[in-house]
Amino acid sequence: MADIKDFQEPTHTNTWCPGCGNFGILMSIQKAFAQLNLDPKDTVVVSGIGCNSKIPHYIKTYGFESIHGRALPVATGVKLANPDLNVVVCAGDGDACSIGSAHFLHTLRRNVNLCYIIHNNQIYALTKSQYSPTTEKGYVSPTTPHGSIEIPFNPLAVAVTAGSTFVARGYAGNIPQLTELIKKGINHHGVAVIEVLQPCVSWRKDKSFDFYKDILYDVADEKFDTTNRSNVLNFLLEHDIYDGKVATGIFYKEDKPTYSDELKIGDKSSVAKQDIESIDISPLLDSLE
Amino acid sequence: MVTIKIGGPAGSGVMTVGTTIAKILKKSGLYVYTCTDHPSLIKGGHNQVMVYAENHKINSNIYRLDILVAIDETTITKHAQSIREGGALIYDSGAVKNLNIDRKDIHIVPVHLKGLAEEVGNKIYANTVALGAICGLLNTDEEITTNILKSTFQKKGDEIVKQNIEALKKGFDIAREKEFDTKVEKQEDNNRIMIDGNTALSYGAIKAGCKFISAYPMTPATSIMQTLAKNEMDYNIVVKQTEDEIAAVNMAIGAAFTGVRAMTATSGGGFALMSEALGMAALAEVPLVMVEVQRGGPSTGIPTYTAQDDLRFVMHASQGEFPRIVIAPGDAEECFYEGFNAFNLAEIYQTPVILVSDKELASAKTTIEKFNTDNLKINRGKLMSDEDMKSSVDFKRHLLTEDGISPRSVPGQPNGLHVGSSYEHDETGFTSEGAQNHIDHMDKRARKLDHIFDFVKGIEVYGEDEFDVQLIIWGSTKGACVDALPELEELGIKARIIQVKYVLPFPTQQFGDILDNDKPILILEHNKSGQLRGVIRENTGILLENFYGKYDSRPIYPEDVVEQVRKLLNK
Repeated sequence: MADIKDFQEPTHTNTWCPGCGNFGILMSIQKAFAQLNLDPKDTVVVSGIGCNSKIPHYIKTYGFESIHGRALPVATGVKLANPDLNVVVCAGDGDACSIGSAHFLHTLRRNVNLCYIIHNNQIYALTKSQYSPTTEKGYVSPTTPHGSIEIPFNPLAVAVTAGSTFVARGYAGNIPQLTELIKKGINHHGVAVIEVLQPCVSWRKDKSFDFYKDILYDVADEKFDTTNRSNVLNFLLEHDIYDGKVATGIFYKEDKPTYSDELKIGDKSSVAKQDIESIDISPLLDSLE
Repeated sequence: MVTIKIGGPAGSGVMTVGTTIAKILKKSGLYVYTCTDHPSLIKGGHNQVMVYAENHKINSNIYRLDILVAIDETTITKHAQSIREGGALIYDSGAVKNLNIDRKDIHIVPVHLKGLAEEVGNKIYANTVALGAICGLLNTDEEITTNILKSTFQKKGDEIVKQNIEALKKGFDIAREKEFDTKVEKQEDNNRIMIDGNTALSYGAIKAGCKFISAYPMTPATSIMQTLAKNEMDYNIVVKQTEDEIAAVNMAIGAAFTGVRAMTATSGGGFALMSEALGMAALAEVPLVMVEVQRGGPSTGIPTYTAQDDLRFVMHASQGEFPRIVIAPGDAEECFYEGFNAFNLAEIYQTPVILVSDKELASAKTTIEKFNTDNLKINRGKLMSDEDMKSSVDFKRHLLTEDGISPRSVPGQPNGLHVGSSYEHDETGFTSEGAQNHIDHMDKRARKLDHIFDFVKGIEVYGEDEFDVQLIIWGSTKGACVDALPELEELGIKARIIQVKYVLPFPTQQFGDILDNDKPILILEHNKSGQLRGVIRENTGILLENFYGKYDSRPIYPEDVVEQVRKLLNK
């Protein structure tokens, strides 16, 4: 089995705040990669822009730090061009639920075989503490000095609705559980969405590791039915992350062919590896009248 | 030789009649140019197809109208006055009850399209009756005509073919009685092809090994994605229609990052949405091919008509400064060859290549010799092979090199791990905000294109070595200018055409060498402000005082060129 060290990038100075929730997510990803014995050269971590999106630089695999909100289309391009690659996508709540929300919906309904990790710290951290699409109504921030008016975006309820075939929630402070969720998400044949509750120690001191310490539970302990889509949706709508106990674990799982499985193409092997030296287009020219 | 205009509401089969007569004339050995003029709607409105055929190669449409086919009254009102003396008007006497035109100098051919079609068995053959009338006027070869009908309808069965042939004959016999002055003599068609710019560009891409296109439907670029989709099975192409143009360009970048040749195609509005990612491709040094097929702007503008008003936009879109290549093919052949070259250049220079086309070039069909693919060689630049990478040590994806181009590994290859990044980075790809590092990498990227004109020809020249006037053009304006040369010659004017094919980087040296400052110069563009004119001034210091800008969203015709030259030279 590979070792977590195989996926650590010691030469790249990490610029996250000390105590940032991203460290727990980073470690969980590296552990998952090691435990799944992934080959670094066959793995691509794609991100958008934001604190969390620096993560590809800290993982020793191929990676792509793209632009804000566009991690999913970049990752879709990677996966459709070369389905042999393991593709893991990391995005923040702004990336995933605001600027990139259209891609969120459409990637899920396509069932692209990738693992999508949403680092949800409920704040725009890198731009210094504005409210995010997952911030609760009434929150006071520099752009909402009198309280935000919008209701928050519920990424997992949306994921189930849009057709995600794997829906889970983890917590940056529970590395063993998160590692298992990521392993399952990567092994899932289809699109896997994992929302990760991520404390932001600089801007959301109200949602610290202390805050989450006693309110989380794993639905796996309650014989949760992960196959009934409408029941899962109801559950996710009724049990959001803002009040009382917050559920974690796998909520939904479904087996369906992936986009690459159903791709209408002559040869389903990676197009990135095909020989292009001597393509004969004479049949095309001959067919012109 | 002959020009034909067919007009009627959208959905009335005008396009089919146009396409079919074009095929018949082409098969008869003529060179055919055919284009459409249609508003942005599905049914109704006023659609026109123009078919122009000659004994020699033609590259544009002309204003002269020999035969007008009117499926409705609007067509007569709008165009009957344009028919030349001795020309002909074929009109649907079922749809147009009272013909109210005062033209004694033309042949008038009333044809009851639906009535005659019903005599054959079904009113759906009305278009074939109209087609027959055109064929009758021109006395086209019977075998060629029926063969084209057979190939068009054979899928629908022998009965349908038979009835179409009968319907054609009905129209043919009526029109044949007219003593129209132009008849088509059958000649060998020498295996020439009839192709539009978008199809030619798509075939160039397929030949270049493009295996990935992600795009969002947008007129007039859509047929590129559709052409690749039609061939996805035979040529193994991933064709992804996306949720928007932002996804389209980002997917193409993700795909290209893995080593596949990838592209996207759009028009101005879609290109606007792609602007941010364009800069990312350049910074991450991902080879990306983009096609921008212009239409009349600004904003939604005149979406089904033509223009050349996005040149500055594609040259400058996206924040910051980075190298990009902007190629403006001028005809279907150049769409094919530059469509092919674009993929080589994108990989050689590891930066975006933008092909700028326009509606007229994209959708008008021309008759040309079959493309010669013998000399088209794939060049993947510094893309490392798996074998190269096996022994690679301390690989640096953005290595600072003398030519500015770094060795490139792709996911799946050993020893080449790196992060493609939209952040400024060091040689390894890791984020760096250092001042000197930024300078080093800005310089590295900028010098990539220093020697591009050692390998590609940025400027093309047409016409004689001796000349009285120079016409400076880019893109599809080429067709009208080339076709204007013989008429200018007849007027005693020798013109030379200087076509700027590569606009960015600008071929300053070559342009300076070719331009004769002592001879009159006219620059013609399909925009209001003279965008290339500005680019030339910026790069050479030369102010071209004589500018003809057409911005009515209709193509420039050879007659326009002749008129402008005469005006300039007072001839």
